[in-house]
Amino acid sequence: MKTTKKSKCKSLTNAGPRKAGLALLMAAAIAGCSTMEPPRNDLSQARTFIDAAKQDEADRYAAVTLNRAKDRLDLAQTAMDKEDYLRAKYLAEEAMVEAKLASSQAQTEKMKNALNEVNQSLESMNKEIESEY
Amino acid sequence: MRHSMIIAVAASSLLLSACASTPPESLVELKQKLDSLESNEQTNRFAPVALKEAQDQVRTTESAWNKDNEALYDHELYLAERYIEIAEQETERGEVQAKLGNTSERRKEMILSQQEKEMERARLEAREAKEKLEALKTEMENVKAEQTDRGLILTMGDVLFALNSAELQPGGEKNIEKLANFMHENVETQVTVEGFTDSLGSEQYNEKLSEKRAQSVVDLLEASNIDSSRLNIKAYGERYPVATNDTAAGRQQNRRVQLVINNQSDRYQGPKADESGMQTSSN
Repeated sequence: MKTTKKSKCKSLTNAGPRKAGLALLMAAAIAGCSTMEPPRNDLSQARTFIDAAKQDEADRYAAVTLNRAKDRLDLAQTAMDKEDYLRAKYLAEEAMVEAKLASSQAQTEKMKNALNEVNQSLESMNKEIESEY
Repeated sequence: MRHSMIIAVAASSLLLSACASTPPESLVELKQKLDSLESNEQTNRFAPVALKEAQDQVRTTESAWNKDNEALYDHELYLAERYIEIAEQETERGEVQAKLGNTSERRKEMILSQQEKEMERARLEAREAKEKLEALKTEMENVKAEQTDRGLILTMGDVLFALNSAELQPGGEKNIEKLANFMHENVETQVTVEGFTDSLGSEQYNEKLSEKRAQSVVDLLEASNIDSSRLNIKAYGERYPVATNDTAAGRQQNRRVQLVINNQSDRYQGPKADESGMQTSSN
């Protein structure tokens, strides 16, 4: 847990390090307040993965998922502005995983297209050979 | 449901986050999805890393549930569902990629079998052409046939022409007819007609006579509907003798027309000085 820097308390528990001990959690709960650093890294990571998804042409092949990632990142930024860092962190992590999924979907979709194209060209090649002999 | 659980926890006075209770439907569903991924052979084969990430995230989600932190649980569940989807995507991608690999194999096989067919066809064609040439050689009378690196050369001797004339004798005409038939059957062939004389008489006269004799062969072929683009004339006069010009017999051998037959794809090459094993040269 980070030491208190801000007087404002955004959340009852800080779930940053997942393996935080029970005692600490309870202590935080008892204290009624715990603060954390702004999750700048998580937001910038989310941005990196969204850019990577765009490189994979997710705009074209996985638009719905990519938009979910962007929306989540926007919400994360809003939460940051409101100093709701835990929520910002969650949203940024969700944006990142959505971006990863968008990349994966785009790559799969392109691979499927490639297979279709090859199958079509094979078929026409086959027809050509058969008509020739 | 979540509230009833909390009540149950309180009632049993267990520690806040160490409760054992019936997991929520969302968690049950998540674990079912993971189960089916884990038992999918293709996932294990094509997406082992993504599967591991999904497994880890499902475990994290479970522990969030046990910590009784609803916001954390919802968050981890969200991530776990996406990680499972990613593993599903990668499984599918692996399968498609494997199929793509198969198609490139199939493509190679198709190209190979096509090449084999083409080679077989070329072999057959070459054999047929050779057989036809052999037939032509035996059919033509008073003709010497030689396979050389310039192509097949048919030499029509002096006896096939009238004396000092370009006019073909009946035997010579028959030979040209046979050649015309052969060329109709083998549309790829072309013929260069080379005219030669002995060294008697002026060089100019000899050149002219050799050209006239070659021309009369070409005229006859054209009259048999052989396209002129497949016919060439070369008048060499007394050059390239095949025998001595010192004897009557030798001179008769030198007065000749040679038909060089080759395929259109081959370029015509002129005669070589030592083509016919000529021992003495004279002018």
